Amino acid sequence: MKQTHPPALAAWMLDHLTPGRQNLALAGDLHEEFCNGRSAVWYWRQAVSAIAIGLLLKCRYLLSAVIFAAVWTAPLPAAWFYMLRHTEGTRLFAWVIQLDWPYSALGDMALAEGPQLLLVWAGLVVFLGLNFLKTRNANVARLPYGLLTTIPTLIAANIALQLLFLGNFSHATTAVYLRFSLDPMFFLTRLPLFLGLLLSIWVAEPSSRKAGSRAIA
Amino acid sequence: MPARSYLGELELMVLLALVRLGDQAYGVPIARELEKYRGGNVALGSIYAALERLEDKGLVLSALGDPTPERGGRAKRYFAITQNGLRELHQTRRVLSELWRNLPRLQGEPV
Repeated sequence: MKQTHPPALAAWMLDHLTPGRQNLALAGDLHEEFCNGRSAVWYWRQAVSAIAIGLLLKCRYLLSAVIFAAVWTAPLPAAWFYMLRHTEGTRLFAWVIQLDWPYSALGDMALAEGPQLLLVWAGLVVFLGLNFLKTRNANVARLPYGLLTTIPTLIAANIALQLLFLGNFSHATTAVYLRFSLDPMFFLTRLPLFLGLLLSIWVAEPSSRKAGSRAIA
Repeated sequence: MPARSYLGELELMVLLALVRLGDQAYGVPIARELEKYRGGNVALGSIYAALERLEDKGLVLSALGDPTPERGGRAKRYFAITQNGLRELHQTRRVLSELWRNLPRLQGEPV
């Protein structure tokens, strides 16, 4: 007797664990072949290999994202402190704090988060640009989601930075900033920035676009 | 001049299968076509991964068909080669033919 229902667990895994934009068509093809007489073992083998291939491709993208995010965000906390000490930043902060509420709070937040946000957004755009040069694959519609993802993590980053280190950097020199950017002890300060950039790259991944938008000419 | 990306072996075979299948090219017949000429079992997941790469390079186009009950209510995704894809195939054939030309004969092989 012909079987009409492929193994339920394998079908569920195929539907839910296969990244990429062709997984529905792939699941349909496997279903069709199964109904045409392929065995459950064949179905399982195909499902597992499809999931493995999809995850491998995803991992390749994510690994390059992890490396890029680590390199891009490593000097950011030090650069932030440097900018604060060696530019008009301190005076600007002092001026903003004297404003009436809520302008003082908003200004403080903008001055604290703004430069970091811009640097992380620049990182996202640079990564997607490099990825486009490599794969010729871009999805601009995902970019706003990627950009928005960074905001909550950066707020957390700012709180952590202020609580942990701000007081210790009032007399810092350039050598201290350099040490700060390389010292693993300060890993925590760049972790939220790193995660923010990584998450935004993941969210803005071009291959997560929906299938079925193009027609055969 | 921009760097040219060469076709992988599976990508080349998939493109050739698309040419042979014409407007009936979706995952199942593509896999059967490859199994017929290459032998052995072909993982549909690897075919879709190759098709996705080819689509990103602009060598292939795809469109969804209608969902059918024998596919568990899922639609077929039909693939077709583009003009760029065809051009790439001709270019690859030219390069490979040139490279194959001086292949020494095996011992005992008839002339």
